[in-house]
Amino acid sequence: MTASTSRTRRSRWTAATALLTAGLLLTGCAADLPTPSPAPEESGPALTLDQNARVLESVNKAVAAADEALDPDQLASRVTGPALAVRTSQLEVAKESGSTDWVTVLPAEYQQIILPTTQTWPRTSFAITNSTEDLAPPRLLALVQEGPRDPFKLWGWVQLRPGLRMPAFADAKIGSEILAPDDSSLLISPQDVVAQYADLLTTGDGSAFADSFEPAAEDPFRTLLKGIAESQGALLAQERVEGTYTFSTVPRPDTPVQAVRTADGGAVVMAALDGTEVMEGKEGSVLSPTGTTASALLQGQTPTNRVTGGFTDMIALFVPPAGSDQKVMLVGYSHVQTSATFG
Amino acid sequence: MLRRLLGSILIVLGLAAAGLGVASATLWRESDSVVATAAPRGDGTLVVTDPGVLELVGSDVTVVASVPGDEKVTVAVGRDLDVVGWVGIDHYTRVTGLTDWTTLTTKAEEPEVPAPAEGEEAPESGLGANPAGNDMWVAEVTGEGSATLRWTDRPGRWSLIAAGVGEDAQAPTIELTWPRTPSTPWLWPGVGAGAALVVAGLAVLLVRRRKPRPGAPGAGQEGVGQEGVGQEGVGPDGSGAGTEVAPRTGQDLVQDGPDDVADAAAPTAPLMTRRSRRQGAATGAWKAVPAPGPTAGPARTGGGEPTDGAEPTVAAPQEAEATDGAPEQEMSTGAIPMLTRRERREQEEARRAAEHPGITGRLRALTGSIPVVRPPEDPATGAPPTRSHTSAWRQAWGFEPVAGDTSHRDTAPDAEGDAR
Repeated sequence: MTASTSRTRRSRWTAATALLTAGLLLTGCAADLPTPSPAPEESGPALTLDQNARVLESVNKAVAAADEALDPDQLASRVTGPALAVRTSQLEVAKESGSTDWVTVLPAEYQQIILPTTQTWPRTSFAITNSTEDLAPPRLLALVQEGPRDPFKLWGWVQLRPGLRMPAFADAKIGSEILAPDDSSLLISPQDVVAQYADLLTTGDGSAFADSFEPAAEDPFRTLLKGIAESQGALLAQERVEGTYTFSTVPRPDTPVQAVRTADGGAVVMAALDGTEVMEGKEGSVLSPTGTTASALLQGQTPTNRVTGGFTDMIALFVPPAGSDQKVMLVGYSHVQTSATFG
Repeated sequence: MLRRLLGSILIVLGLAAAGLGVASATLWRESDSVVATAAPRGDGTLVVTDPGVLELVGSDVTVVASVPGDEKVTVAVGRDLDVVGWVGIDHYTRVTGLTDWTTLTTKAEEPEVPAPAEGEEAPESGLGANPAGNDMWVAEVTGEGSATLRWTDRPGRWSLIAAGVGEDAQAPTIELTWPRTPSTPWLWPGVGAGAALVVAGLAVLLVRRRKPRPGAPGAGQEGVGQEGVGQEGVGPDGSGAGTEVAPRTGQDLVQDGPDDVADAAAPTAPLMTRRSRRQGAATGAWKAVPAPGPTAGPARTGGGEPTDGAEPTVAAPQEAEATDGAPEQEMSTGAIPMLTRRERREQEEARRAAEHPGITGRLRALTGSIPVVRPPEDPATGAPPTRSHTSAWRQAWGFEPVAGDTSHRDTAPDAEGDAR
């Protein structure tokens, strides 16, 4: 009996607890207002891969639409800078010549995406395409967002040199540092390296900067230009013409270089150069253009003994980090004639 | 009488507590969503939320931005610094948090104009500009009059930007709706306390009932049932008997070869017989219980076969023989598989149900303190449940069903049922 009495007492306590519980239940219903607790700020890529894929898709769509209609005006929404100049010229040449053979193919498949961590504007992203169907080399594309209300636009491209071992970049989920044109962490600052390379193209092996760069014989772009100069020079050197061929480049004015950090602390620098080709025969001779592009660009002009060709060249250079004993190496180039005039 | 009254009061209190607990989670439950609105301030056409506001109440939020009339309105989500970058020097309404559960805190922001040259053109281009289509947004919707966007939080700092678009655009009004799983902090305490009270009340009633018959077989039987529960916990598939049984048995199982089997098999039959007889006699209750597998047992031809699996058969009865204990000890051999416990519980349940018809029985079911037990089955149909999860497990894992099952089919009460 005593056992059950104590049990009863316990039960009374339980009952009291339950009643108390029920009472509290009726009163305590309000909860505290939450306050915002955002994630801490951390650096990351300006775009996610998904967003970047949409950007590339939009760019490809605009480019494809313009290609389809041979209408450069449709490029403006997604193409800018040297890329716009080159593509506009290519489309005009294609319209004039009736052939799209010289319109650069930009594959829409990508083997690597390089995204910026830049938090301000402009922002630059890069993409490396796969090889084209006819096994043309992969392209390195640069896209630029000028301001927060602007879209990313295709700014430039180069074809990667054959057999290139592309420097490694930070993963696109982490993002890569975009360097200022005067960044000092490199062997040569981005804007200087471009100016030096332009000088190298103009003056050849005699350039004062040649030592910083890989030997001319290994550089496919310099090899190409040398070949053109030799063959054109040979043509112009005929007896009846006794002409000369010169080619010179300067960095395109008011066009910033695009530099992105590589994994080893160096950078890939992309820039546009203005190339000028002058072919001049002796007085009284008449030069006729060779090649589709020049012919199309010279259409309707009165031939003379002097032809000036304008090129929009785009180059990408690998610049080693400061203090490195590596040489600056060409990553890729694009050499497209965008203008031609007699005289 | 007093005791019965007390028991009843406890039960009533328990039911009341449980009822209050349930009511707290149903009748008085908070609403399933939080809806908070932000009215625009100032002269801008933009509304921007601080990072953290979108996920203020829950990770899923539905944003509705509406403007008077059919003006276009765009809602987008982007990284906070992208949104701030997009806004630039435009005036905007900044949403910083909740003022109360239905109102968002807003404040008019007028960013400084960094350079006078830009200041001249920015107001023109800025007002009514459409953020739609920007590459930086991770989600966006444009509508006429209103736009609805669903957003699920993800890692990062996300801001919402809502813009009235057009020449005469006005900043939209923002409504954020978070679904919420209302917390029901009193449900289980209430139900738990209620259940405890009901159990206490029942105990009070039961103790009184049971006092007059202290030596009744029922009491002992209950003890057995509880013992059985503990036993089951040790060896889930009945073969766990090995743990209770002397270690030697375990060694037998592993090491001793077929030569032991003959020895082992021999005493099996008499032991079995004896044990079943004793059980049958000691606890008349066994007879009331349906034999769980009268078909399964014999079909497996357990008894005679001198298989390895038969060995535990020997071990278990031997142990029982050695101690020759009360029915509890019989149980502690563990040779009786789970179904025995069930049977006993059923039986006990049936007994109690018989003792306490009406409200007590029903209360017991209500509190759930005693697991619901299926009604006693006909011996003929009772077979399938005996295969229970032991054999299912064996089948699933590819153990030989015959050897394993045989071992305790032999000792199982169904064999005894046959003997009977």
